[in-house]
Amino acid sequence: MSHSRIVTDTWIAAGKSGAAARIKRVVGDIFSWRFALLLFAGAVVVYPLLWVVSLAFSGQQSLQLVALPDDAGFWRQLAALVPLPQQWSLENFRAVLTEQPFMRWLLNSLVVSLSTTLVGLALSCSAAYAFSRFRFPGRDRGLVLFLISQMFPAVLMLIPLYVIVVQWLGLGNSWLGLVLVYAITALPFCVWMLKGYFDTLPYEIEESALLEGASRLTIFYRIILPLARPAIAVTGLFSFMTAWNEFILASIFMDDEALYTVPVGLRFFVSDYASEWGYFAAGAILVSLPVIALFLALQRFLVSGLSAGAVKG
Amino acid sequence: MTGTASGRDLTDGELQCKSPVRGRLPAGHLLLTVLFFLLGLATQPVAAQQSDELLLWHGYRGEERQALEQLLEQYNRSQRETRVRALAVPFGSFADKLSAAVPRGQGPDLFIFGHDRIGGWARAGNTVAPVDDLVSAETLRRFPASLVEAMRFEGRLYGLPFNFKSTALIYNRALVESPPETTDELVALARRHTDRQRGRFGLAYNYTEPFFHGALLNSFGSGPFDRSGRLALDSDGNIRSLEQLLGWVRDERILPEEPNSTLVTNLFNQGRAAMVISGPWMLGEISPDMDYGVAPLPYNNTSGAPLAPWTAVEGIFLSPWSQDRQAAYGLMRYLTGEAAGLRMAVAGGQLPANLAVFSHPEVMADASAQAFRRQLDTAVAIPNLPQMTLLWKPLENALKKVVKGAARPAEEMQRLQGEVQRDVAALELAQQRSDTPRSVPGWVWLVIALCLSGLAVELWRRRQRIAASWRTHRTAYLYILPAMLGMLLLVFFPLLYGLLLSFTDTTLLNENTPFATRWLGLDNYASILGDWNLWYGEGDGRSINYDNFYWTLLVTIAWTASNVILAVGLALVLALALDRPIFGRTWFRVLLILPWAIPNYITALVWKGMFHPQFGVINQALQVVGLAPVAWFDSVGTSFFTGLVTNVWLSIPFMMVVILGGLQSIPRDLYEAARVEGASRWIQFRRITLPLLKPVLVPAVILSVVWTFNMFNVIYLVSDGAPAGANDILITRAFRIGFEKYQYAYAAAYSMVILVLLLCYAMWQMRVSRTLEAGR
Repeated sequence: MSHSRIVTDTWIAAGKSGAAARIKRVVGDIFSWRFALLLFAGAVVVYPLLWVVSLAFSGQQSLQLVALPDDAGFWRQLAALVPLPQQWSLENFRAVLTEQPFMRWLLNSLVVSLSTTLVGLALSCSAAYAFSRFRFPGRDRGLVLFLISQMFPAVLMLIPLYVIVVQWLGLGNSWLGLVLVYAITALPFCVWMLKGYFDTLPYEIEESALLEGASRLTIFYRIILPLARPAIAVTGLFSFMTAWNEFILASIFMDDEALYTVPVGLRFFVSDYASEWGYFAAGAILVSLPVIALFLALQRFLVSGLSAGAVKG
Repeated sequence: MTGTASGRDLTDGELQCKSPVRGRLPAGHLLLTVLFFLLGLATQPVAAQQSDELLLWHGYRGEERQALEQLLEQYNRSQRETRVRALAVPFGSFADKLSAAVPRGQGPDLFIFGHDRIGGWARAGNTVAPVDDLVSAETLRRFPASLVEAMRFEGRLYGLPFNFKSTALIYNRALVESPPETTDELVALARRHTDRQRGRFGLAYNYTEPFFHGALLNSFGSGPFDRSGRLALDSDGNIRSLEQLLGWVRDERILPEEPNSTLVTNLFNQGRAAMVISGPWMLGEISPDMDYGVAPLPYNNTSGAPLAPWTAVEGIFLSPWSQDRQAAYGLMRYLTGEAAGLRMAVAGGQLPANLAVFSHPEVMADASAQAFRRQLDTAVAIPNLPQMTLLWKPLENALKKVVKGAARPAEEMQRLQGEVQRDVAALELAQQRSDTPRSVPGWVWLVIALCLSGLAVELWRRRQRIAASWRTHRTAYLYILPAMLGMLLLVFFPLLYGLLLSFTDTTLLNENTPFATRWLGLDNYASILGDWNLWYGEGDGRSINYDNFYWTLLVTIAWTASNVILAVGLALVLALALDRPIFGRTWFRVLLILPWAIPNYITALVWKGMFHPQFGVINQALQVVGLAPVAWFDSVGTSFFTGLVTNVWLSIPFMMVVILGGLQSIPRDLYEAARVEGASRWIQFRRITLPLLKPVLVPAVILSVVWTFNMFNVIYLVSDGAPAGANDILITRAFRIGFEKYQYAYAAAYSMVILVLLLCYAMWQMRVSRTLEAGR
């Protein structure tokens, strides 16, 4: 009995000191300069977004202008600068979701963006692997060539892209054309980033695997890709975003409203004369939810990354 | 193989020899997977278009769209011969979609669009068909003469008018009992309701927008063109219209600063603007509890004529490729008929061009519609000359300069006349040239032939080395092949197109003529690089010529450098702060990527609103802490700052995510070892973090330089190059040349210059990082 009692005592003591240590750590975190910095950065990031959020939830198409109370004190005046809708309403969201086939478009966008991510990653992983692991004539020039697509203004590519995709390939009004264009647009970034990450992966693992008789393909799938997970997560997110937010090509290539992607649907709210900014804000928030969800899902990969042991092989 | 073969390369070569056959597999395998996947995607159902189907493109949404769709449904039910299918296109891409599709034989049978583009389309050809042979005189009698005239260009009728839009006076009944009859009354009334301290104004409208200034402009005379259609911006009447506006803004002080349509609507809805000048599109946005009235614009005492706003006519246009012109015309007749007009007016809130609708009892009861109808009697249709499309942006810049006191009306209008005349001349010169037979000169063919034969000879001479290199490096090439094929098709071909375009004099007016007749040679490049007009004027009065290529280049470099340095620096700090565990780390990580997740179109506009000099939050916060407000968009430096802040805010999340990923690839035990040896945090950062981050950081920096250099959205949406184009970067300038001045070839040459500059940068940056690598 005494034995077990001692055990429980130490248990409790350990638990207590554990909780205490945790509280101490949290308090220490909160009063550290890092926390202050993050808090400040968070505030700067959130403030303009608050305008979008409160416009979306205001149920109106334009926000009330800030009116500084004349005779109020410093803090009351400062509080007046925080954007809050006069009354909260879900009317904008209701209108966005019901007046147009918004969910349909969201689904279209998901298909297009996920396909873009898949195609883009397949093309860029293999190309980046070659650029990182092989030395061959034309390697440097090839890398720069990939960059060129980002150097030419997109607006001037419109007509030639239309000629190729719609007239030559006959891919007008089909998602395939969009997916191809988006994947290629995202390619330079993906190739460059992945090459950078592959470069940081030590060579020795592959060498020993090759000596043990593994094929290049096995090495690529079994060793390189798992090790490069953080990079693949970043580039995957990037390819997804490229397709997710693009508006002009999507609306020019598609001739059927049922095939529009969601950014095209969003732009219906903006015109030269009158723009329904409340609808646009609500739509923008709905559109960014999947991206946030995706980022949350990918966080695991971004963080877990490499353990020190795996790297040393 | 390159000369600097390191130990790594050798092992690679050796390894390669061991598995020559297997090498082909991975790339081929991947390629196949992707191909199958793409085939799967290609089999998605595509709505098949029937041959007897009429396709109609329009830009309507909301109520007016529903009204139109109901009409079309009714039409489809009422007869059996033709079926109509409608496609709504967002306003922002409608013009681009039309100019991409229609001249190439694609696109709809009919489209509904503003009439002010008719001149450009008709001159360019292949975009819109004349309908004189179809339309009977009886049908034309449905419309007032002014609206039919708006659809005519060089004696031919292009399409039928459908709806019209013009501005009128909208007033708050609680503040204004009866609308003013004259501008003297208007100003007196507005002065009584203006209290600038409390943000109240007697009158609010988008006065720096040429469409809105039209009301003043047209009341003084014939507008931007004289009776014979020649450009006359510096006419006495136009200058006087600017002087009158200047009086309202600076002497009477009855108008708010930096107006835009959202601000005007806001002020009116809050009862902070007694009267506004706006169009029927605003009525839907007025809050339901507001008691308002609409009246035609008053008589202008200064000019001795009524204020005459511009009318925009929405026309129904016929594509030149339409298979069944009679069926298409049948639909045009149906839509412009009285019954259809009534539906558009009652259910869609539109103002139909068929004026018989306005005497219908249901529309008679609508006082607002009747007021806009009365306004039509004095309103003037926007000139549909191709020159008109060149005018909007320069005129807007001139209006902004004048109301801010940066230029005097007479001088500014004379300068503007010269500027627009040059742009018009450039367009007309190109068209005249294309009338005379021209062909690509012989030396060009010679150069091309020489290049090709040189290439062939070189390939032949090196055939053995190339073959050997293919054999040795087949795996590598196969890995890259799929990506390269995609690039070849979707990047290098468009690039070649741009390159060829830049050697021509293609403009809006001659873009559909054969290529050889547009050949110009290197003139575009010569005029860009030889643009040494750095100054305007002489002596003390001289100022920097902001349209100059070298000024724009300077701004672009400053813009790129400051953005990348700030974004990378701040992102690095934030990533380091997030790299080690801290309370709420996951939340901060999600919070800090939000600017990347929300479409930047809306956040850029929020930032623009926050920088508004009168109602923006930033200036109000400055006032709260006792500082003076800043006129953000009036000087080069502050305007640059607005773009910088917005862009850094937008680009930090991405950089941070990249750096966070990079930090994860640094083995933790390196830090442990460093700590054991007593290295300080700073030393650890300098000796471990930075060097090991470099493989990730260098490509990220190169890419973000390229992106920032070409960051169109932020500049265009936030500062829009204010003041007067001083903050335009090369890409926004290229856009303006291409899509505001319609000199496509010149814009292509501009873009090629951008490309070469960036290419030089990338080469240099790679050389630098390679020498650094070698030095390590």
